[in-house]
Amino acid sequence: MTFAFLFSAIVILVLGSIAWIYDEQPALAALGLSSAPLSALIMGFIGLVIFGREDFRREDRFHLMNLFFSLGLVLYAISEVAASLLASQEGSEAYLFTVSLIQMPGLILWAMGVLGYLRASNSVLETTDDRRLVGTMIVVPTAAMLILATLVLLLNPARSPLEVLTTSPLAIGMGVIALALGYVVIVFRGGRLARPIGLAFIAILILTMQIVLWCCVGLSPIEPLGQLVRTEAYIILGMALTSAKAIEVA
Amino acid sequence: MQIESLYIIRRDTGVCMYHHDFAEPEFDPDLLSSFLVAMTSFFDEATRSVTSRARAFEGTNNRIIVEFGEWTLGAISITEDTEIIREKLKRLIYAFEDQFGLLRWVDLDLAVYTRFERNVIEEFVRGQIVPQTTMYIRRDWEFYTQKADVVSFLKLIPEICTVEEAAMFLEVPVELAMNLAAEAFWEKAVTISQSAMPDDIYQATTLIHPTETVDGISEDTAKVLPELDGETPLSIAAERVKTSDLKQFLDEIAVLAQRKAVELVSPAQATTVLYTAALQETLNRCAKILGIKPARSMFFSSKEKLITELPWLAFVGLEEGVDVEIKTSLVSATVKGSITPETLSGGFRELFQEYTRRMSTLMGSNPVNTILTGARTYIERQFPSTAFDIHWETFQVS
Repeated sequence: MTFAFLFSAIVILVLGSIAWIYDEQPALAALGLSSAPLSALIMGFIGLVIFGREDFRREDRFHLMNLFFSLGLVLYAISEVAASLLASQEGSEAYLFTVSLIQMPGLILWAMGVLGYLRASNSVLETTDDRRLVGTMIVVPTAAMLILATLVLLLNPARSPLEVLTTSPLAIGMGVIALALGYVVIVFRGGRLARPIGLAFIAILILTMQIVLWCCVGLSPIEPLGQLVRTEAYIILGMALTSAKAIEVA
Repeated sequence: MQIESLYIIRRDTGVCMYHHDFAEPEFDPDLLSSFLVAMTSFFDEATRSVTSRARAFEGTNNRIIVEFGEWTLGAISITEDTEIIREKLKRLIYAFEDQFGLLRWVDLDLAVYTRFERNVIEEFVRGQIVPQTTMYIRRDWEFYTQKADVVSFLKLIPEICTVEEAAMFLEVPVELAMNLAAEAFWEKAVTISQSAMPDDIYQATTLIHPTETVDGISEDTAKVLPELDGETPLSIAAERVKTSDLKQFLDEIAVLAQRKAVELVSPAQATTVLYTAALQETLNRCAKILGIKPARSMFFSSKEKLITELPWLAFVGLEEGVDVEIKTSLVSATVKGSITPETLSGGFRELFQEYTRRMSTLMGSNPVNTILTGARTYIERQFPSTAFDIHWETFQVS
């Protein structure tokens, strides 16, 4: 299944590149518009089929993280569709608020899954004190969010404050998830566990960069190239989920 | 398990060549040796067996277990038959045949009793003496022993003291005091009792009801009785009922043991409990990182790989999640002593090694070694003196 995902990721990338090189804007827009929600939805459903069938075990953080990734993907598919449907109102404050609000549940689910797993691993490996870890996970993102929003508004006063304030939590939240996954990859770099987590890290890193660009320079989420990049990220996340399944049957 | 007497008998003539009574003499050695040789010969004839089939002869209060050498037969009168005792008896028979091989062919006075004494002490007495063993010097001990080193040892130490205290008192190494205590016990100049240790595992008998008030036993200790289920170390049982004074609690448990209200589990059972706790902790930690399913599947595949060599592993399983389950068959084998602690620790060690090897392929060697370190620290807290029986360093992966 991983190869099928890889193949589809390459096909979408090649098609997108051809459309972009030949300046086929309608084709590029159609590809982006259809591939982003579809890929997120398919990957989400595949993940749910794999991880949603078994009993819900609160203490099984690895399983839970993958389940939350799957649920988050389904919610991101919805947010992709909503962003496309509201495209006529692009630039308006209502549009920005709605799009970022719809993305928030998916992000929260991913954060719960990844940070929960980070805490569980930390409780076993005793890298740092749990209270300090929880404190860092609350204080650092909040401070970073405020600093990012202030910096962007100071450096670019023309930007809409609402846009910056609604996108900065998304950027920082996604960044924190990426950092946590990166750390876990480093810890388990010697084993097969690094593969699914590493793939998830790459996917989240791509999404982080996209949201950071939206927050800092105002790159629209319904930009066709951006949608194609997100499609790649969703497919990579799907690969991470099937790879995690392989760990479960090891 | 209490050894009453030991006999080494020549198989062809039925002559008892060596015997020692650990308690009050029960049988006449010559009578018993003739009986045993006659009975074992009868079994061999009746079953037309080349190798002797007789294993034990049972009475009301004790049984006589027999083991065969090439030309001798060893017998022990004991309250309970265990594989460990049989192993010890076999070792003694082989040592005897090796040391006094000449007696097979000619009848000579080889001072068997004095020369063989050391072997018997090593097998059956020395193991009972630990630094915490309490010695009670008999009032008329001078009539029991003439050995100069034992006499001077007993003259200098207090009437009731532990071996460790005696060593400190005499300013001699504990090892030397343990040897002297073993000799004094052999000579019946002292009686001994074992103090309870925090990681000892006791099982409550039904002699005393938890609500009953017992002379010399505090209410706290009486409350602990239901917790003594043959699986829980005393330290954990004491923690559960929030005992304020652990030393007093341990002393009271020793008193209860003397009154047969609680009994120490067999060494094999204690080994199983120790390794089960270590395995449980490792599995819990592994499951937190990899998830329950991989942790379970790795356990079963590790077990599957070893089961042909270690068939008893079939009785070690997992309940829901990663809860280690020891099946009744294995528990009962450990209680009866039909499986030795060495066999169990060797098997569990192999299972651990296989499991950690598989874990390292999934998460890398560093996290696995960290998991092992964490589990080791936890086990050292729960079983302060026996935790070191587990060779954790052999489980580490590189």
